[in-house]
Amino acid sequence: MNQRAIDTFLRACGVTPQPSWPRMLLSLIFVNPPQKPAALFPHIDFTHPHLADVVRIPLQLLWLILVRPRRAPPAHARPSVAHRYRVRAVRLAHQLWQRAAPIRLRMARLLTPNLRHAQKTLTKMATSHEFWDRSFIRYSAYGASVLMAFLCVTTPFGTLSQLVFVLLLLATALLIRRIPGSTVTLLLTVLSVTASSRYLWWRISATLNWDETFDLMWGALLLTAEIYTYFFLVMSYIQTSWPLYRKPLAMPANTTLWPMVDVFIPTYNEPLKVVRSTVFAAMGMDWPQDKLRIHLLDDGRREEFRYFAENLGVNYITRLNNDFAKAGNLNHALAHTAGEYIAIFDCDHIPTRSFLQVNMGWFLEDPKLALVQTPHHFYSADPFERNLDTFKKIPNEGELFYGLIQDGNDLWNAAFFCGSCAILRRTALEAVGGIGVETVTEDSHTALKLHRKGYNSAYINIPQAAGLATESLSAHIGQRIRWARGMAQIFRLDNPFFGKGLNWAQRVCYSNAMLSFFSGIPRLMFLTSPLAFLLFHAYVIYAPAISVVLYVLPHMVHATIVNSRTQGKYRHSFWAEVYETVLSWYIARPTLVALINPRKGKFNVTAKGGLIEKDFFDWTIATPFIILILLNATGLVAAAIRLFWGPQDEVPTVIINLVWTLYNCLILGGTLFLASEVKQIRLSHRVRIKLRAILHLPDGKLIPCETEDISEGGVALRTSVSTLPAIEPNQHLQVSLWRGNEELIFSGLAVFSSTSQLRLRWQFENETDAMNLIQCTFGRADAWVSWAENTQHDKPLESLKEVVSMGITGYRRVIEQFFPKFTPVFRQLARLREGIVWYLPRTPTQSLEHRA
Amino acid sequence: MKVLCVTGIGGGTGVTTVAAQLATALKAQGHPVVAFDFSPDNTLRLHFGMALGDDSGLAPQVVSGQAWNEVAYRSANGVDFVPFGNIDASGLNHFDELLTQQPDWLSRRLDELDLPADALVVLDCPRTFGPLWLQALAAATLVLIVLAPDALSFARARANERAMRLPGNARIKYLFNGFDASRALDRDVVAVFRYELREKLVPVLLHRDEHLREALASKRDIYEYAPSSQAAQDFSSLAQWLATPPEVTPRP
Repeated sequence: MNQRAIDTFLRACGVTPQPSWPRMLLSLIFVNPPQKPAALFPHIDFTHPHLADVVRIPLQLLWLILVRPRRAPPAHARPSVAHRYRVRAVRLAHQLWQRAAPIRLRMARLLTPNLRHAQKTLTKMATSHEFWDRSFIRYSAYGASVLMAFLCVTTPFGTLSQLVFVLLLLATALLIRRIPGSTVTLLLTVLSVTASSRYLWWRISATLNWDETFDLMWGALLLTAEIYTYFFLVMSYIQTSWPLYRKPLAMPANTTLWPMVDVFIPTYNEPLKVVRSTVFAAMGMDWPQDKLRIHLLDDGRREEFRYFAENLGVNYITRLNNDFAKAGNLNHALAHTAGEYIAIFDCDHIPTRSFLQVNMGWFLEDPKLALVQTPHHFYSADPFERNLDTFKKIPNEGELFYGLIQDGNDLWNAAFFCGSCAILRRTALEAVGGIGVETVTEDSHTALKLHRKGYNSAYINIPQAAGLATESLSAHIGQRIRWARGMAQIFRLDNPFFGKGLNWAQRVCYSNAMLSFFSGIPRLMFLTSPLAFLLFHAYVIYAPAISVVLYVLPHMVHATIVNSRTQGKYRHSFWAEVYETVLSWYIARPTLVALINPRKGKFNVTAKGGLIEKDFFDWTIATPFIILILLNATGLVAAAIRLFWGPQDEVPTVIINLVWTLYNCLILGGTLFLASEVKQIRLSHRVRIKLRAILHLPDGKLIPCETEDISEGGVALRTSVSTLPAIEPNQHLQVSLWRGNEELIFSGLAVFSSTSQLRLRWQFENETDAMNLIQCTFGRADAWVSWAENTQHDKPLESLKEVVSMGITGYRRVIEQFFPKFTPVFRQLARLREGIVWYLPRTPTQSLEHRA
Repeated sequence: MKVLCVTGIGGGTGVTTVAAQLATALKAQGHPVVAFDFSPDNTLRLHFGMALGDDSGLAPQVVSGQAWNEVAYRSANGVDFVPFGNIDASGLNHFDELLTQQPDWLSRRLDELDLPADALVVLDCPRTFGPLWLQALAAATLVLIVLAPDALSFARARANERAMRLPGNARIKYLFNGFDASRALDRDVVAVFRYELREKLVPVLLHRDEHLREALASKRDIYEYAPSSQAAQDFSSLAQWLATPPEVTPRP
């Protein structure tokens, strides 16, 4: 290499060449260098050299040599020929663009300026052309599509042709995935279904080892799991292909036309504290007072509840037995009331004042409409969110269902009843014999029966009621077990695939809802399958490693692209894996049992409002996963042995299984993270709501402030500037809040105060105060509207990173629990990691480009 | 130029305090403001820091035939104001007679001011039914009637509106002063007014805030004395609402 080349190279790296090498290195370390190198060494403080810089600078130099930062060409430099041509081309294009303005205008008028709308219009033009009305053309087109799809899926390819095919699919997907609109989503879905179908066909036709019984058994099991996943995927695509996003319909201005509504609030063993708020809020709903009846359905037969209801003028209904739990309770009340419509709220779902006005409109429009469901919104963190610290940051487990699936179902007239926050038409409900009592998920079954009778359902995705999430992980899992068991029961007793009255899409939607609860066993299969090879040398997928990669990866990548696009707002990639893995073990058995004997199994009430007094690790929940982890760890050891001492030709297969096992280990680590319960000490939940408030001081002075959080127990206030006078603890103060434009006042005792913050404990003299508070806070029409505005849309790679780091942390926590003496070791490790990061080279600062 | 006539029904609803703090708030929001005291009480000036013993003002000037603009002052916070001046009973009678003879006296004086378009004139008129009050109503683009949230206010408001058949394009708005949310009657009266008067009621309520009385006692305006008090916020909201009243869409 000659001297000039080296100089150019150094300049390229931003280093001024010096006459001699030692001098240059010395100048970098000891002499205040010119600006450029400083920008190239953003992490090194040249004014205060550190001994370690001897290592850090050469490292950074090496990095800069390998990864050259991009920079703008110097302004004074003569433009290259290519650049001049580029400029000319751009200018020409611009002129053409200007010339074409009239045409563009006409096009724009034709297509409307909105791209999404244009897409819709075009799609409509293409799909609703009268051309399609001729059945011959229509069916030949179907036939041709099916034939082409069949060819596309079944044609056997060699490695190279499969590679080309896969790359083409991927290139198409990456090209179009940024374009908004449902048509593109459908196109991406088609690509994904193609990749997955091809994978499944290949799995069935070419990867089973029929010669080895053991391999075949494992292979068949895994294949079954994969077939399940495939059908579930395709059916979800159908279910959510075109979410309806139904808007509320306005009520007529004349309120005498508004129907009579019964509000049912069923309760069994929940404390009055929880139920009170719901009753208060229900009483504050905007509806003609003579057409609104509130009924407290107490299955606990408690005097306290009767007294409370009578005091408020709310109807109290109870019965002598508890047959059929909540379903029986509702049916009993149904027989003792007469309103045209029935709004049902679980006793801890607090409705907003606008609930009825927003949701009743569609009933008046459609006489066959039997059900309007709204989302279940939770203002407290569920155990997953609490333990993973993802509350309000990452969409929770239920958001996918209420955010997307129900809207998708609604298109197919298959929105389900979810037991609460819904309105039912009495005549329809009576036509199906009331709420279903055959299964433990009475709500879905009732909806299924309504649909079979030809009634319609609707879903309005505006949170109009909010409740408490389950408290502990075990309770949360218990609830899911109940759902899983109930769905399996319906699947057996009243299978939506068969029987009368449903259209094919409703069958798909219902079946998919049930199938989703059968995911336990397949998930366990995926968690253990690589072990079959690593431990027992069974070729579960009997194919060369390269083929496996070429078939599996497109299947997974395309599914991720589509799901991230359609579900991204409601569920983040990879997080679902953690949620489902935790549930898999627990729902596997009950679903299997219910499938075999659907009559077994009791209704268990979901406990809410409990306390977790200190941080603890839920060993009962975690045990199965620890066993799975140990198995996978053994697999890792086996993989290492096979890698180093096994036959050479197996290495690629070992690597695939190793990667798979590592992924499983990470997801399982996430479950450990989940099992470490974070303490929760307050009985009433502080809900972060920012509301305008006025603080009334005892001397008659008023200070405007804002609420930070509110609960039934107290409030935290904050002023914009530090102006609060000294407030003694237990001093009596008053706070104004607003219900609509009505200002109401509440008393409280100071608990804590600083110059800008104050916490009060409410001191209520009567029920009216408590009721007003609920109506000023939880009952506001806009209480939950902007709740989700801070959650981010999914970025698959980001999510993967988060899940990986969560998995690692999960392991750390468990080891710290098991062996507390390791804690300092982890601290050391963390410090070591930080130390290493400190040494690592960095990308030069942005300012470099401006300077250059 | 907007002319706000701040007046009240019944005594003691705090018209002068409202006029003074409102003028200060409007000034703080960047509008040129001129405030006139039209009450023989001659107390508006005290809100603007004028010495207690200074007797000069509008009425003595007019009665003695001198130019009224010689008694225009500027307060420390930049509000231009004209005090009513200290005048005895016979002087006041004379003043009233002069004004009765010249029904367009006030509008001519306001025209002479030649104020810019974004300027506001605040007329403090707690004394009702005098000739100056009538001229103030006639000259005003907006009449702000200050009410106490009590039982009599409603009856008075009804009677008053009939009495005030206003010429020109003046609008009447009702404003509650001294609202205390902890008194059930205050809440009820406001609720009734809201229902009966709808958009004639100013959406801003002025709360009963001790800060306001203390501010006057310490001879400072509320923004100086307690800038982060509810009273300061109320007047800011009121000033903002007055300077840019939102388009009111009538209910169906």
